[in-house]
Amino acid sequence: MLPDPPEDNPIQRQIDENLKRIFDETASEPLPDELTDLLARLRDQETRK
Amino acid sequence: MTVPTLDAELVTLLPSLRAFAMSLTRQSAAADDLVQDTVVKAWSNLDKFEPGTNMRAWLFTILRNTYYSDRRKKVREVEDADGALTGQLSEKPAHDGRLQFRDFRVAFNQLTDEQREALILVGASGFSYEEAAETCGCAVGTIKSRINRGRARLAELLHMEEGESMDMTDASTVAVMSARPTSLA
Repeated sequence: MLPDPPEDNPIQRQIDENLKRIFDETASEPLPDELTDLLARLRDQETRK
Repeated sequence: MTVPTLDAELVTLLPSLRAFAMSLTRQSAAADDLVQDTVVKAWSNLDKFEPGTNMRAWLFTILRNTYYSDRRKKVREVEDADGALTGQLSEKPAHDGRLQFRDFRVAFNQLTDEQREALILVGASGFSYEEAAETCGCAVGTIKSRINRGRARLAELLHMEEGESMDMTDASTVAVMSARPTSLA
C-alpha cells in the first residue's frame, strides 16, 4: 500500500481542485424539471395512501 | 409511511447525487435517468432506512448499484452525444504549465469507473475513506489504492510530473524523467 500523498503535493492539489470543479459544475445546477416533477408525483402518491 | 424529515434530507442530497451520477455516466441524459431511477428506489425503501445512520452513503450506494446493474445489462455501445467519452487531449500542455480544465475532464473520463467514483467521492464530495468504502462495498485499502492509481493515471495522461513547478534546467534529469514516465507513478 502506497502512503497517502502529502497534502502539499502540487500535482495532487491541482488534481483535487479540478475534481472539485467537475463535481461542483453539476452539483451547483438547479434540479431539472423532470426530477422535481417526479418528487411531486411521489409525494402525491404518499398522501393518497 | 414516510417520515417528512427523511424526505427533506433526501432532497438536500440530490444536487450532489446528480454530480456523482454525472461522474459515473459522463453524459447528462444518462445521469438524469440514473438519478430518477435512484430516487424512485430510495423513496419506496425509505421506511427501511434507519434514521440516524448515513443517508448520503445509503443514497449514493443505491445509485451506484443501479449504475453497475444497468451497465451489465447493456450490450450496445452507449451513444456519445456529448463527445465526453472520445474527447481528445491537447497535444501540448498549456504554455503556463497550468492544467487546462477541458483536458482534465477528457483525462478524467478515460479513467475506470472504479477510479472515477473513488476520486469523486473522496477528492470532491467530501466523503471519508470509510464512507467511500461503505458506499462502494469494498475495503478502505481498496478505495485508497483506486485513488492512488487514478491520480497517477491522471498525472500520466496530463504529463504532470513531480517537480514540474520547479525550474527543471538540468537536461539530463528531464531526459531521464520523460523517457521513463511510468517509473514515477
